Amino acid sequence: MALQYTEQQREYIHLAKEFGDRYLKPNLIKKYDKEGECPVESFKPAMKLGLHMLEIPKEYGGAGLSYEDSALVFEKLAEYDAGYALTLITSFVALRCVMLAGTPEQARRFASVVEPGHFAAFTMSEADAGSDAGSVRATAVRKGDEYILNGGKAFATNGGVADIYIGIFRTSDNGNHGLSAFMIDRNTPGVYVGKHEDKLGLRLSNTVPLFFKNVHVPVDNLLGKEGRGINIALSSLNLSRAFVSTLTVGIMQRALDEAGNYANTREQFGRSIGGFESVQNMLADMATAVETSRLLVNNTMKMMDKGLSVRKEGAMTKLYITDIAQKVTSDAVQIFGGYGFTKAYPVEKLMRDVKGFQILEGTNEIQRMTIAREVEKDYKN
Amino acid sequence: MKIAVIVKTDLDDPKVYTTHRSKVSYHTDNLFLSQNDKNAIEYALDCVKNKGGEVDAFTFEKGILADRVLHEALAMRVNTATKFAGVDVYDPLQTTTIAKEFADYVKKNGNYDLIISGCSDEADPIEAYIAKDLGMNFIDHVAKVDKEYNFESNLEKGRVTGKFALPSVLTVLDSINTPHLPSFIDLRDALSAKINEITISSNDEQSKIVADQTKRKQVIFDLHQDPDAVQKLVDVLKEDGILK
Amino acid sequence: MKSVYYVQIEDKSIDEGNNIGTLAGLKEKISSSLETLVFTNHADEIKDKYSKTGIKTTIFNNENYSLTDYSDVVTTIKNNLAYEDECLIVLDDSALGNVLGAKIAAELSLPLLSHIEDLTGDTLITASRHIADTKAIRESQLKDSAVVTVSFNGILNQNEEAQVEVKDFTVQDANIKKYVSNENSGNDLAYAKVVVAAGKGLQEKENLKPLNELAKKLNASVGATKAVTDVGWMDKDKMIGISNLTIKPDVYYAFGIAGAVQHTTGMDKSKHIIAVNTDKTAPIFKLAQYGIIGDANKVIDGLINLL
Repeated sequence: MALQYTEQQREYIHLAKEFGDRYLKPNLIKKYDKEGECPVESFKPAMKLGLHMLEIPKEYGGAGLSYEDSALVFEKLAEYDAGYALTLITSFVALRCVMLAGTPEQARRFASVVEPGHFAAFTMSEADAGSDAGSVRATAVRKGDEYILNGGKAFATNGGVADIYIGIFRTSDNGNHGLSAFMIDRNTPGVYVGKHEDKLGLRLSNTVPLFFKNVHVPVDNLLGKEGRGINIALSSLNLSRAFVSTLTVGIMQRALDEAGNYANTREQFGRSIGGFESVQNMLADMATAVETSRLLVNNTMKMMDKGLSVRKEGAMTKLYITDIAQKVTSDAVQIFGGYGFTKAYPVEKLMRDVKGFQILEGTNEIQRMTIAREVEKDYKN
Repeated sequence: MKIAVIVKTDLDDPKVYTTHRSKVSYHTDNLFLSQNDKNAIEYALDCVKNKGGEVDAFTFEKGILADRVLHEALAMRVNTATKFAGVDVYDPLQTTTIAKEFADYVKKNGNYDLIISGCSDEADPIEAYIAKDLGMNFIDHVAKVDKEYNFESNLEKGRVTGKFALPSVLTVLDSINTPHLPSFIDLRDALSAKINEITISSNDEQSKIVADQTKRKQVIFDLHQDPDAVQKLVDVLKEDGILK
Repeated sequence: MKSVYYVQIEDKSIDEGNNIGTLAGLKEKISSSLETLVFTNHADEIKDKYSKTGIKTTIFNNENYSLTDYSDVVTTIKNNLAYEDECLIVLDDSALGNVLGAKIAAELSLPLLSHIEDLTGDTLITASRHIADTKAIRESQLKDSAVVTVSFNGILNQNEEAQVEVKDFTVQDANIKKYVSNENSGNDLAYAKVVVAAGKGLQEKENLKPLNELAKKLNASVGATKAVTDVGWMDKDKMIGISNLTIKPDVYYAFGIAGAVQHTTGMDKSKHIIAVNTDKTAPIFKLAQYGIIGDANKVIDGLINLL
């Protein structure tokens, strides 16, 4: 391995591996992937281990691991299933967001829902507002000591399984700057969960449309100030973007492991296919992609632990890793040949799962825009 | 109740020793607390849960592995962790010394009701020697055990059943229970918990570790071309020690 | 080493121990004086077996003895060997051998070296074994007395006379523990250290006779592929393969077996595999370390004559 692990990291990763080996067996994951539903019951053991609050500080009941160490744990979990890992990540990213943008009282309230073993979700995207966050139309109208929320949301990860949301709603007409962030209890009257999306990949992750019909939330649930919604959304994306990168590294590692083993056992023309140059080249490229990706994520996480801004680095990390993962997983299927194209073997799922990451948490086109802007600043006078 | 658990790693990584011609290299990256030792810890924790008491973990592993296995034991919630440094618990020529040092330590610091460890094909059966030094019973390869001390020990084609009395020394297999997985919070706390260290010196002879340089070529004779094939096969099998 | 003692257990009601295959291997390796010490409850019935091994034997007999009485064996050995120096005590590398070895070693304060694969040297013996599944070997020089457990397989010349002495030994409050046998303990194929297996390549049921004769010479159990048991040449419980038995003997001889994966998953963890088949492209040759391309029946006859 190119990354020089600390002893502490080795032990955390090993515990994640023991968890995966015991609770995320291949046949079970295959079953859940086929069903395409988020297997809520299966998260109980994960929550017992504190995986839903891994990175959250001790004061809020979390394990308090650094971003760097948490990333390695989730990379290992993603080797078993990225959708499962994503479900946990989405939860603690939402909580982290409240800690960064809200008051300590709000953070405690949010944590008290998540910590006992429940999920949180973050919802901003709408049917007509994906990359273009400024087009968000769902409204929040102040009335006395309440806000009344109305509108529809799309593609809310964890939306159907969460007990608490952070939702982005429009409080004024200022485009991006007219958006505000609210904590919303899922059981508030007027909150409806729509039909679960039947996705290509990441099928263990719950993805639903949400509908808010005259949902009353107390003024205390506004995070920060009105108009701060876009900043809160971006800080949330900052985190989830970095973690999605580490999940992708985990998928690539799994793809490499499967393909590497297969190349050594499968024989054609009287020898193992791992002896043919075309297969060797693919494996070499895959291994290089995995090592460089892991190092890139690790560095970004280190910067985040130091409190440095990762506007450019985070975008680069997500862009580079999720793009290269497409070839890595596709090559894994290629090495498996005909068998790789069937669901009987685990590699086709890896290919399906990584496609989602080129789109979620900010499409790679948006990432390029962000990077370009930062690069431009470097050369402008 | 006072229970001591002696922990070590599983040498279950075929690459823990790699060889290049005659050179042997040792790699600890993939070695962790042995599965059977986790079962031992789980049984010990179960006993003190009901009867009150403490579980102390000990290891004779070297270097980073000593800390690693003790961290895992602490994460499972044993009460104390102690490493004995300076010996090689996998070298059968050092067993008598290691066992005696441990027995002396126990005699000085208070006797244990139970001393348990996971069975291992690689580490020495120091438990047998400890039992003799401390005048305790030794029960090996325990496949089943309950809190009333009824046990079953595995032999080849059957089991020996009985009941042991305290104090006793046991080695256990993974069939006795299902150990719990510690939480990340437990592990985080374990990483900063105190580990006691005791140095032992050993004057014993030491075994040598050498590389296996036998080239495993396939030896196939063709009876159609070589009428002496059967004789040659017998000769090769005798030479390689498979036929004697 | 001045003297070597091999310890074995023979209990008339418990089917553990009672193996003399190791003795053959020991005899080849040891130049010092070798003696067998047997602990039993039915000396009269086993006397003959040991008198033919060509190795001096002392049988400790007590009709109240049970294999589960470890301490009595340990005490007797201590009383007999405590003042000897440079003696090597050898037991089988089996569950019983290892626990007895450990207790004897602890009692006499001697090092115990278990799972030993080889003993080399003359006056100074070196015990060696692989470390787990790796390519590293641990070599331990035995400068003084020691206890080892070994797994040697050999064929004893069954006609060498040996001196056998029967003595009594004390058995303290016996039978605190009970022995319970496993469900498939009657099937000795499952536990055999050496296995001879028959495949369809033997052509006819009659050819199993010489195969059985060879198995006896090799002190081996006999098994077969599904193809053989399906046509009734052998009992179904002797079938080695995915739908019946998976075994891990030290030595596996495959006669006339092609090596289909349903069979090989039942034996591919054997330590040493020797294959005989007329077809040089048979998949079994991928697994085997040794083999002969030729007619299995001819090879079986050849082996019977040579051994």
